[in-house]
Amino acid sequence: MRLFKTFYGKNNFFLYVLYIGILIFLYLFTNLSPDSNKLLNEMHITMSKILMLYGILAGVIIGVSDPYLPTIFTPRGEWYRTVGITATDILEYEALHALVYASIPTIVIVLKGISIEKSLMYVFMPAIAVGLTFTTLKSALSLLCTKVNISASLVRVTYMVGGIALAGNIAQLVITYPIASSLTGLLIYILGNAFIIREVVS
Amino acid sequence: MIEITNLKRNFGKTEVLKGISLKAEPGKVTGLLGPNGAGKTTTIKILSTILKPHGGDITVNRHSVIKEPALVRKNLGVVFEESGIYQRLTGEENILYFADLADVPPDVAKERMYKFFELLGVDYAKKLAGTYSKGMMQKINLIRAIIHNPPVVVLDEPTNGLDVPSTRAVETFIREMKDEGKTILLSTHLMAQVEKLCDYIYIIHKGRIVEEGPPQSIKEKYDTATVEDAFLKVVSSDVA
Repeated sequence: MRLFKTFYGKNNFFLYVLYIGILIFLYLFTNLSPDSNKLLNEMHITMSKILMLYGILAGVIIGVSDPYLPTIFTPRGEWYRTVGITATDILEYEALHALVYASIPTIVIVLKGISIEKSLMYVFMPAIAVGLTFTTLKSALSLLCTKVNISASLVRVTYMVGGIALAGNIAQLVITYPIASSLTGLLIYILGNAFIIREVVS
Repeated sequence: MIEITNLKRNFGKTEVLKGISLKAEPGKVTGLLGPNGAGKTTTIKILSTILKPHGGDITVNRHSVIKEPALVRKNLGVVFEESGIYQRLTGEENILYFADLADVPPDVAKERMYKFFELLGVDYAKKLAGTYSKGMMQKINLIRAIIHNPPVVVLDEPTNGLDVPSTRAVETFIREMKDEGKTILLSTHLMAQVEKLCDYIYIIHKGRIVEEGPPQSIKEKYDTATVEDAFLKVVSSDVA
């Protein structure tokens, strides 16, 4: 928890405002009623739209405000080899990051009156898959960029743009193929972080 | 104690380190001098377990950088020229975060941190690091590197670009660490600083140690008034 506590717990008022702003935005623009519990097809379409919209917004937010990257890899992943960061720290941070990412659209859906079971199944689980994929890929991408001496600002722009493209498309995929996509998300999380850990911790 | 034995490292076909050996002892400041590209930073990177050697070894308090890199890291505090301080955190938060990574209990870390603030004249640590000048940042960087009280401290150009008061504060701090019995390896281009701080110096040139000894002995050997003049003689004679 030490990375997460430090980088999410301190001086991130702007980040919290953005997250709450997205939550309100999604709530206002989501056309769902508790009756939708009965209509699975409508749920699919709406959830897909919500996750795509959310993916785009979150891509921008994380690109602009993620307090953790790209500084963790400055310069070129070398720093953390000298100060005792562990593989657990990295895996934990990425997983918690995905959890924060997934919780926002889930809260929106629950506030709309959709049952918790359906919210977990159709929003939370797909969003976790998107979150794991997204957060791992942007970390791995940032590390690759810093390894070849690309500046921090460019790294930020790269994963912001990459995030928007990825999150939107992945969201659609996970809605259509939830199990395969979740497994793929988990695989990307494992492989991506194996690369990051090898570079930063070994 | 740092012991470097026959250290070799290549980058592609270029031999950057051609078998250097040196020793830095506790309670002393050992200087590592050399022109740009001599191999100083490569040596420090291997010492701090960032790079692996292609030959030879380094031990830090008898732990090998090849076999026990995690134990080497625990015994080391490294100050690079590039600070690695998070600009979105305050100075205090940066230091306490790194203390946490090094498993220092929070109360112990705070006690040490405030002691160091007093020694270095840091009264700005509650502000965001992004607002600091280079000198302010470097003082935080120095405290960050030694918050876990490592017995061995490696300083790579610690006062580069600092103003006179900040440089003086950092130099006093280095002396304090030396008096506490820490092993200090100092890499710098500032020869006046070498004369003031170092008990023993190694001059590295083209990947080899070309001269070593206490600053006074080196000045006498080359019949010069300053270490800077001796350094220039050593380096130019090696070129010839």
